[in-house]
Amino acid sequence: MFILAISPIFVILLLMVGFRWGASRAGGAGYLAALLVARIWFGINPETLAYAHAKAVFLILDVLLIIWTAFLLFRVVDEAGGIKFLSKSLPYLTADKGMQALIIGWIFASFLQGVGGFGVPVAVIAPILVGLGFSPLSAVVIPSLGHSWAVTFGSLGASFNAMMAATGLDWQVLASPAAIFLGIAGICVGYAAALAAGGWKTVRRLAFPIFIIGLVMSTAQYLTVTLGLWSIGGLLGGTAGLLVGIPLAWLYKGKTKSPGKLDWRTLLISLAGYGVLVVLTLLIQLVPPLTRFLSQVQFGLDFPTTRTLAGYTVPAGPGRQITIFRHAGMILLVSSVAAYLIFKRAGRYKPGALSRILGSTGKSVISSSVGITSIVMMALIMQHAGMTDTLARGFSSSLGWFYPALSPWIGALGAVMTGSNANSNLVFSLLQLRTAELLGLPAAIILAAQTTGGALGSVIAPTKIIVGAMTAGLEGQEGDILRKLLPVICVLLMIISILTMIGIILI
Amino acid sequence: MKKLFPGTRATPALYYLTLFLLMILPGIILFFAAKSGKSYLVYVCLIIVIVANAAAMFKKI
Repeated sequence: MFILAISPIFVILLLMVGFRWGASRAGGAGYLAALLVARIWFGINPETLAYAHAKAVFLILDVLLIIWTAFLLFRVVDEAGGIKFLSKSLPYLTADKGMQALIIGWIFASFLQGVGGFGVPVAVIAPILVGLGFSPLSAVVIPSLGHSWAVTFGSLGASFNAMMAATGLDWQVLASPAAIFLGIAGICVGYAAALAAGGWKTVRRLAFPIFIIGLVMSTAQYLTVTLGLWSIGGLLGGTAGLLVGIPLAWLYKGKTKSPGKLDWRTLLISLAGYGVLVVLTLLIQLVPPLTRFLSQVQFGLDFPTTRTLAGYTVPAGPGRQITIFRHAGMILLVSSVAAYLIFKRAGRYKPGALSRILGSTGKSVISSSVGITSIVMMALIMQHAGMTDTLARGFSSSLGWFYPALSPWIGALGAVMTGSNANSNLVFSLLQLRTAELLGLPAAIILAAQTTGGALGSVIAPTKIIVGAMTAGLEGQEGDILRKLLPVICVLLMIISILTMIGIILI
Repeated sequence: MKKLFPGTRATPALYYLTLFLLMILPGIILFFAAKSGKSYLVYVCLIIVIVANAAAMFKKI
C-alpha cells in the first residue's frame, strides 16, 4: 500500500525530472494516477471524491489569486521599464554578481517572505535577477533557496500558527527549537544561494559576509519569536538582513568601474509598486482594527465528514476560507493599480500599455494555472483517500529509533505534496507529535524538524516551481529547475536530520 | 479537446483557459451535487474534471 500511495508523487517526479515534462502535463498524469490508486486500492467513493475536489478548488483559488496578481504587478513595473532600471541600478550598490545574488535572492527574498506569502519572493525576484544578467535557471534557483528558511515564521507566521493549531501546543514550547533549526538552515541557504550564483569560488570569496548576514538574520528571528512575536519573526529577520547586508555590499563592490551617478528619483519610482506592497501588507497585518475591518468578508464552505470504503475518515470542518479583502492577492492587486497610476502620472508608459500588460499577464499565467489545479486536486484526493496518512505511517513505523532523522523528510514530503509549509504542518504535525510521544522523544525537537523540513521542502513543491518558471520565462522547463533544486534541498534536509538526532541525544 | 473546441486550436491560452474552467467550475458544483445527493451530477462533473486533466496531459506546451 505504501508503494501505491507514493506512486502519484513518483509519477510527477519521474515525468518532470526524468522526461522533462512541464508541470501542466505532469500534473495531469499525477492527478490521473492518484485517482486510479485512490479508487481501486484505497476505496475512495464518488461522494468523498466530490468533496475532495471542492476543497481543492478553494485551495487553488487561494494560491492562484497570489500568482496572478504577483505577475500582474511584475508586468506593471516591467512595462514601465522599472525592472530594467532596477537591473541597471544594482551595480551602483555592488557590481559583484555573487553579492547581488545574495542581497536580492537571499536577503530581500527573506524580507519578502516575511511580508508576503506563497511564491511571492520567487515571483518577484526571478525576473529581476534575469534582468541583472543571471541565467533564467539561476534566477529561479537562487530566490527559491534564499527565502526557504523564512517560510515558517514568514507570511506573518501562518505556517507556525498552523503547527500550533494542529498540535494544540503553545509557542513557548515550539518557537525556540524551530527558530534554531531554521536559523541554521538560513545560514546554509545563504551558502547554497552563493553556490548557485557563481560556484564554489563565490562561496569561498563571500564566506565571511554570508556567515555574518546569516547569523544576524537568524538571531533577529530567534529573538523575535522567543519573545512571543512569532507572527513577525520572518519579517524582522529579513529587515535585520537588509540593514546589515547593504552596508556589507559596499565592502564587496566588485572590480568594475563606477557607472556614474545614480538617478534616485527614477529608482524610487521604479520601486514604487513593491514599496506599496510592503506598506500595505504591514498596515493590513499589524494594525488590528484594519485587520478586523478587512476580515469581515470571507468565502468558504463547511465540509461534512467523509469516509472511504476502506474506512478512512476525514473529519468535518471548514475548507480553506478566503478572506478576500486582506488576501495577499488583493494586496498585490491594489499595489499593481497604485503602481500603474504612479507610472502613468510619471509618463513612463507608451500608448496601449494597459492592454499589453493585461494580455501578457493572461497568456503567461493560464497554462501554469492548469498545472497547479491538477496538482492540488491530486494532493486532496490523496489526503481524502488516506494515501497521505499511509505514507506518513509507513515512514514512521518502519524506522523506530531512527525516526528523528526522518522527521524533516516527512515535513518536506507534506510540503511537496500540498505546496506549502502551512499545509504540511496541518497534515503531519499531529502524526509527528503522536509518534514522538509513542517513541518517548521530545516533541518540540521533532516538530521543529517537521516545520524546518516543510519550509525547505516547499521550495521543490511543483506549484512553487511553476511560479518561478513562469516569471523567469521557463514555462515547460520546470523539470530542469527541479533537477537543480532537488540535490541541494536533499543535502539541507540531511543537515536538519543530523541536527535533529543531535538535539535528541543532547536532550 | 481541440476537436471539441476548434476555436482553441489557434490560441493555446484559450485552450488552457478552457481546461482551467473545466476543472474549476465542476469542482464547485461537485460540493452542492454531493450535498444534495444528486449522484448523476457528481458523476457528470467528475468525468468533466477527469477529461480536462487527461487533455492537459496530452497537450505539449
